[in-house]
Amino acid sequence: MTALFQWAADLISSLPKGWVVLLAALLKSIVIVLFVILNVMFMVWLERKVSARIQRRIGPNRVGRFGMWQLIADTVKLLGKEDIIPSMVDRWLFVLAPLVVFATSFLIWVVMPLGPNWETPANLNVGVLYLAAVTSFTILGVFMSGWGSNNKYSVVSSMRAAAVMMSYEIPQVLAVMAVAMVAGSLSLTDIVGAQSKVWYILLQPLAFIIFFISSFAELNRTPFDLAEAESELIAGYNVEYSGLRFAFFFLAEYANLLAMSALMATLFLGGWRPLFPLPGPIWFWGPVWFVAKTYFFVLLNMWVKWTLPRIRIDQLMEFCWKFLLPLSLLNIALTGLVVLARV
Amino acid sequence: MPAAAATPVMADLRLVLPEVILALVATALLAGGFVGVGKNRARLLAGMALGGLVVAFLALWPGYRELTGAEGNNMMGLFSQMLVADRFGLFFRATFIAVAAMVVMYSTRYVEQHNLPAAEFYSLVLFAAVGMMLMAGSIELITIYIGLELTSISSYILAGLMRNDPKSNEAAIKYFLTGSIASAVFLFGISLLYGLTGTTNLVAMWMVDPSATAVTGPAWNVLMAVASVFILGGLGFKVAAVPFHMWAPDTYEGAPTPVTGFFSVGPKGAAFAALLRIFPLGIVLLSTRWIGIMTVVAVITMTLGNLSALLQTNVKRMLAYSSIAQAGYILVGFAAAAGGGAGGVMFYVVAYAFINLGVFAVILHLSTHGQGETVESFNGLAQRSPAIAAAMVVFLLGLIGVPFTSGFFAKFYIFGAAVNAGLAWLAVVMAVNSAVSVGYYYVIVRNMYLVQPPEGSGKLAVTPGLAVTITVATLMTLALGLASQPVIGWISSSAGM
Amino acid sequence: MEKYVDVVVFLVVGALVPVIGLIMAALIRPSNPTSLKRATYECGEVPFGEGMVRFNIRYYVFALVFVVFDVETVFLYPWAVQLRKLGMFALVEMFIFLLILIFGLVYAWRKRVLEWS
Repeated sequence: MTALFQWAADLISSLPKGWVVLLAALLKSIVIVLFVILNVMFMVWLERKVSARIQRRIGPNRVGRFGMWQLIADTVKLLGKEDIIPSMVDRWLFVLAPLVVFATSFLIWVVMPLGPNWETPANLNVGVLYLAAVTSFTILGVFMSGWGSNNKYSVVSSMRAAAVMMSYEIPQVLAVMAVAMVAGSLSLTDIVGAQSKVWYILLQPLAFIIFFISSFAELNRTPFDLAEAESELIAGYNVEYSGLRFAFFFLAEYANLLAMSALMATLFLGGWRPLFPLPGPIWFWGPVWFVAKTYFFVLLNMWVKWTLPRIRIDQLMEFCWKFLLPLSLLNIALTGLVVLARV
Repeated sequence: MPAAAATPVMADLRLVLPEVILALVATALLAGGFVGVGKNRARLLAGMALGGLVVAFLALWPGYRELTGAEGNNMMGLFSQMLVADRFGLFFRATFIAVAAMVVMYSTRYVEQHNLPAAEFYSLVLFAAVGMMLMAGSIELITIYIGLELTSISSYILAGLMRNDPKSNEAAIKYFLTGSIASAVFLFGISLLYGLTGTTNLVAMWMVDPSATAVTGPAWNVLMAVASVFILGGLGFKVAAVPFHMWAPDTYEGAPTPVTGFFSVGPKGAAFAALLRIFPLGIVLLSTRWIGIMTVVAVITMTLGNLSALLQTNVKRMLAYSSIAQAGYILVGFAAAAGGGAGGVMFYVVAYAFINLGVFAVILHLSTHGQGETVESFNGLAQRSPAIAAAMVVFLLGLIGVPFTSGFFAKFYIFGAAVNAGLAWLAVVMAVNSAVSVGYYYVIVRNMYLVQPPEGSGKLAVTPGLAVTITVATLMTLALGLASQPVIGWISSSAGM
Repeated sequence: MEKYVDVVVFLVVGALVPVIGLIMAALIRPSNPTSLKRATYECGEVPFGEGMVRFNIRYYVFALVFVVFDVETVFLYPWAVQLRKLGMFALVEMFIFLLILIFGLVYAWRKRVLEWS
């Protein structure tokens, strides 16, 4: 065994530095992708169970205990579905859209600190700005699919999605900016580090509320799911997709929910920092706390989604521009004053 | 200095007070578009704009004191050299405030009659004026670019303010599309200059030793010529120099008439100011490649402008080509920079501003009485409004360059510079062109004096705003033609900086 | 720049997952497209016209306002991080900047740009 490790260490040290960096990145990305996919599968099951309980149903309970294997069965089913590409579509946009949405849903994790000694894959010093950049890829993918499908429902849906996601991006980015002002850094690792005494949900309650509300719009989830309002737009921008291509949109939605929840946990609940000390090493409990906090937000999101009705597009836009945006600017101003007063 | 105790920022602010005041008033004017109601809103907003311009003009005083006082400076850098206070800048800034004030005065009736959005109209004129002042008051290419953009973007919107008029829309779209490309080209020229010299500050650029830069020898010359062409292209678009003039006739024709008048002198003058800063006063030490380019452009511009103007029947279109021709004359001043052409350019810009605003005020006078924009609408004007017809004659004589008008001295100084610089042939071309221009200016004079007015038309009443504008323009045209000495004195002390 | 290797690798691996999935699916799924199957979905009706139509101008106006505020945030970020070092002067300066932008928002608001009908 030791010899094996020795051999591996020798092999790595004999490689050029570029290869080591590349290999490390590859390893990290595979771990994260597996982590996200497993969580997403769990979340799909969770959502079905939670929504069922909220509606006084039981939810999936046929495949495996508590219907645990339902999603595996669904995946196998989708794998065997015929791949229908309608004749009217813009082929390039149509084929690329699920790829764009799915591939970019992992990018947030590049800067996410998972635990105290668990290096983030890359502690970019522009972390928060990077987040603002990569989260807008989703808009691109959604718009590609909606427009490329050349279907009236999907075009309406993608227009709505683009307008809503774009609009809510501004208050959201401004809310994160207030957090960055308090922490004095854009790096997420530093932001978690700065929350050793008090979590930012207490220092930045306004920012948290703005971010939380905006996250529903960014994720296209009820009450802000105008883009996929089933009763008027059937399924929205992905109405023409079937089989595995549809599955990737579906998975990406949950991957984004997970990422957004993890982001909220990092920015406002101290990331991996424990709520109360537990016996055992922090490098073990840190990620556990992180995942627990993430799931807190996931559940909160599902609770809201299955409780509130959908609102109209004009109400949604006016709420953003006439309430959230001024509020977030006010928050920036207040934060600036407080930060300087405390210097 | 009285404000020696103040912080540096405050002291610098004192010298850019006119710009600050104008920007604030322009913002307040925008708010005037939705705050409060009243029947006389348009007139009230015009008054506010005019008041702001008057205050801004008075606010030039501290700068004037600094530059002319006992310990008068030649050039003061403000805000880490992003702006400068010097005699050259002060000259143009005062001119631009006067131009904006005249535009506000002569537009009031037109704005009311055509139901233009008054708040936006006056506010955009003021914003454009701020941009123009920034362009003239800076030796930093980035600030010049920002001023250019502020002016241009305001201009694009001004051109399209008549939203229900397809021609106005066409004017705005053409101006916007070509203008944005020109701005990009200008910016690219700046980036080339920066790459060659390592600075965007013109004064620092003069200090650059061409033999000590990363690029030297033939490569330096080629790249410098390319950079010159790009900058000349970007700004040449704004002054409508051939081959960047294609937008001008359509935009001039389609834009609301007061806006056309503003375009022909405001943004144009600012572009000339920036060109002066950049070429004869700026990179002349680094390269002389641009002089040949400028000569060719000047010749083509004035010839093409004059020949095309001869064929026009729409007055606004004719004046567009006439203004292209005038730009050609001014460009001769650049080509003759070695002979002191810069001073001639400065004089020409201010003289031309008053003349051309006067011409447009006369057109607006006709348009308040529902007259079209054709040459025929001038028929018998001498009988219907004798004073205004007489003023129009003065303006047209000024445009031709007849003695006792400012236009004569403007051409005279540029002629002289061309001869001094050894470009006598260029002066001859310019003289021939001036002679050609008589052809189309004469048509208007003939229609005013020798053609009978249409049946049943009486005297035309003149609005106070137009009366003031035309009077001021006439007086300035004559004053600069008869007693140009103070202005020339100021110019010669500033252009040789 | 080394850190950005991760970004690229994440993107590539993330894109590989669906590609591999689709290749796997291609091996087992049936494929017999018919023209009816490949018709655009319109609730079972025969589809008419194009889906890519000219759209309500409102959306584009929002896009324009968005660009203004998005660029604003880019300006704000460096200031936000360095605020402690820059001190009161930067705060006042940025407040002026924010006031101008807020005025723009108020203008758009009052001009009914932010309304749907």
